Amino acid sequence: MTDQLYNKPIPKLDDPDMAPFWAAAREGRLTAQRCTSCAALRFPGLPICPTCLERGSEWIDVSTEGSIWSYVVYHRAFHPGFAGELPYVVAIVENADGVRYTGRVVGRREDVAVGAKVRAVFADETPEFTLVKWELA
Amino acid sequence: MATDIDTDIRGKVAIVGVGHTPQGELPGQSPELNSVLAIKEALKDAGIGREKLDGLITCKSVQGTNTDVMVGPLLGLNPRYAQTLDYGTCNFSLHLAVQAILTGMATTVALCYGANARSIRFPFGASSPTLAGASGLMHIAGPAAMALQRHKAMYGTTDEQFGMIAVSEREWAQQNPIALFREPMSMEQYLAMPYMVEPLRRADVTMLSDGGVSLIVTRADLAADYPNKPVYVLGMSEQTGIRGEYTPDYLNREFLRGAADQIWRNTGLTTGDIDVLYIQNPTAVWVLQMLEYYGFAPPGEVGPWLAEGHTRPGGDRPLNTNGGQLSESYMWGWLHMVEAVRQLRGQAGQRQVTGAEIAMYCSTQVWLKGGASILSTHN
Repeated sequence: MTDQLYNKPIPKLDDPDMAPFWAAAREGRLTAQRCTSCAALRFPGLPICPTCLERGSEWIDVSTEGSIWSYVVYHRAFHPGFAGELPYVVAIVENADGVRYTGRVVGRREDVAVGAKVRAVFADETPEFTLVKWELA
Repeated sequence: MATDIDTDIRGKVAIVGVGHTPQGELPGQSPELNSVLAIKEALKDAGIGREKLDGLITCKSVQGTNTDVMVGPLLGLNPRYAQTLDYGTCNFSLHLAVQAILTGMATTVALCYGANARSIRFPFGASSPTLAGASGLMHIAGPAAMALQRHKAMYGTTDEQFGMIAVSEREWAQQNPIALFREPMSMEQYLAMPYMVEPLRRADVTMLSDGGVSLIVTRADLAADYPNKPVYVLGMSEQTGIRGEYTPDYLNREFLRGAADQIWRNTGLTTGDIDVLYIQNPTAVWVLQMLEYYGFAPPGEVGPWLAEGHTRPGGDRPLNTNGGQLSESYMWGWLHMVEAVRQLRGQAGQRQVTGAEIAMYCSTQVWLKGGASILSTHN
């Protein structure tokens, strides 16, 4: 039932390049893809390492601490699913391992700033889908 | 022994015709029809029939149509050379035409763009099935606002400084009969507008419109046969950032410096030589960034520079004298090039910049590619 009521975009949870990320989020873990040859981290997932062009990879847990590279505040909903959440904040966050994630920032809007410290939180949006969000640390 | 490749393109190719459809809402007209209607106007301007064309370079519409093979049937032509670019912005299209002409693959090429995004209500709210999309990051305004917020935090750029881009374009648009947004907009009115995607307001982002635009380009040694003053390509450059979000600060679009360095080096010109400047702008953020990367404003100081009013009518750095995409029309920058040609020919009416002899046009495909062209009536 929840699925039918959820009218915001849901990522392709079975996308071969990203399925492990969504499965980990479901368990409250933040992950990034690591090349088994050169150990470079990448996100979103890719079928080959853009650093060394080797295909082997594994998903590893990474730091849930990060800081805001930049952020925006949506005052208009371009998708009807977000209309009830205006105004909402989306940020690009760089975590302590140097991986960048785009995601929602929850908490007092007045305190959101470039450089602000944040930590990952895991919001169960549907019985299958958990969204990684960021709260001000 | 290897011979050097001839990289001197200066003055070898000329724009000899420009044309466009009315702008705004053109219900029932496909991108391909708008392209062909624009080509008809450009051919008329060039004083030739379509049989003179042996090349066609189309630019896709936002929904991915308007390819060469879709325009061909309506144009009634099987030219020797045809090609399609994803996001030509007229700059990449012109560069391809120069390459085709200088290598002998074509002699006289029509470039075109067609859009019906307004009348079909193209859904920009559609989001990709990604973490970013699920988080509500959508519409070009999102990433653009992200870059602006970063600029504000790094350099102290204010809303009022940034707003000068939209205010200045509106002032120019008031002198352009084809501009869609001509009602006055003062800085006070701008600042009183609510944010759309903060820190961007509605006026900082282009509004969808329908229409078509076309240019006719040919070999410089043939250009004297055409009725209008030929506008020669003095230089061109491109630089990509096609790794996209895998380049950490990709929204800052630092790769644009590569396009800037090349065109200044290749032409031997400097910013001081440019009489009229055009910067493609689905959002005003593109103008903010390109003014800095191409060297028209000091790095990090474009805010205070804008506030000094250089870009406004009467200023010493006339910018987007057509009103740009914020006030003239959507058209992916194609009308910027048309305006550059009109200014150089001395056909810009009330908004004519006195003594405009060298024009520059800078454009990008979002945060993935950048290109620039320098044009002049002198070769």
